[in-house]
Amino acid sequence: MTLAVCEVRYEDAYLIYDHTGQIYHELRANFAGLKVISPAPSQTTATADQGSFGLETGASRFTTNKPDSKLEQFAVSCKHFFESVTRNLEVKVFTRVGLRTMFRKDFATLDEAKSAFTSLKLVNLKPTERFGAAAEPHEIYLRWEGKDVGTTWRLKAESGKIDVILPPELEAEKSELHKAFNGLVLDVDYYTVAPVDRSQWDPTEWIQHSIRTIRRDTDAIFGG
Amino acid sequence: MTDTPIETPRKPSVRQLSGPETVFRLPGTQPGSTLIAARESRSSGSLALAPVIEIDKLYPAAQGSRSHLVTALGLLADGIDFLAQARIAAQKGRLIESDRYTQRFQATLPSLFRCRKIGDGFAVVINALHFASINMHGKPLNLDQITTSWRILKELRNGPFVEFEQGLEYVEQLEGCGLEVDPPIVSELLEDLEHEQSLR
Repeated sequence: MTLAVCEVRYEDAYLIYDHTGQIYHELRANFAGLKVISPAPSQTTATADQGSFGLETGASRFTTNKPDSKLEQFAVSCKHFFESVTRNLEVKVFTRVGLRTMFRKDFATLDEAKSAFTSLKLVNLKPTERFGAAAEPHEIYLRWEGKDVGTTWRLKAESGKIDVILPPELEAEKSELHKAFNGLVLDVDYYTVAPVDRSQWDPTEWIQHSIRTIRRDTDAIFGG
Repeated sequence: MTDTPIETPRKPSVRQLSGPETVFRLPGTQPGSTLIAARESRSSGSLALAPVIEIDKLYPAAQGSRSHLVTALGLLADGIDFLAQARIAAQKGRLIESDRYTQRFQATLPSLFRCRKIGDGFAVVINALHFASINMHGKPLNLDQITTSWRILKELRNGPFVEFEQGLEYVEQLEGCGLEVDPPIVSELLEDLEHEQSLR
């Protein structure tokens, strides 16, 4: 797993103009290295050792790009963050709660990743060139949505490149870092459709239930 | 061109992000991971009428789950069912049958008590129901008491993470229908205190 995001949305909470400082003051007790990056009246972002925070009038989210496999630590961090947000902004009902996770399986080359995608047989189309682009698609995007919950599920064969130019003040041996990767990226967004009352939602319970659901149904899609 | 330039974290641009997806910020990710700009069309105040999600959809029971919440939801469903049966029997004047169902509900309370880690609001309600049954000393609950317990149990099942203050409100409602919700020793202490005050 390369990324996990939990986000709650609510009707515009104007108490954000009064209580943002209180929220970050409370978070300091549970998050080491907390640092506010972008303070603005209606939108604040911050980072800590455990991940990054986004606080807006209509939504707040916690993100980590180093999630533990069962999301246990991630869920605990979410609980600290969202409890402070909902209490201080007096949020009673969430219009949407979402958990987005990204997984990556690396391959030596992009062609190998594409072959792996094709071998999964997720698309029932004859391999004929379409739209003048290619014979086989290398990305699939699906959505299931009921009256209570929904999921978007995207799988893509892709290559990526990380380019970092280090500031000279670091006096590092290398002034630049470059890394390329090829792989299959799975991006799953599991979310609620119906409103969720504050008394119904506990981040630790919900995230644990959700990641189990994501893994179980993704395994089923892959034929596991 | 399929390369995915992923930049190191830097100060993000300030903009509202409320598209249809759970949002994350990775400036310069591939097109599939960028944020879709469409906004939800929910109008302000619409939540007042929208029914909230069913608790069983939010926390579907998984086989072999050791979650306190899943256990509690199952026990609460049983308790609600027993009290519903007790209400029907009481309404029809079948008091022995009503009491039998009430006792079956009361038998679930110790197991529910073991799930008190769910929250303080949850624990205070279960505690109150437990001591109310002890303080009845074997007497059957009347229809009003059964109905109030049944209604509160239904609300607790649909919102088990109630705040402590809301839990206390439920306890007050139980007291309002004549149930004694304090532990017996506390009741005795309060009685002694009131007796002493009346002698002064």
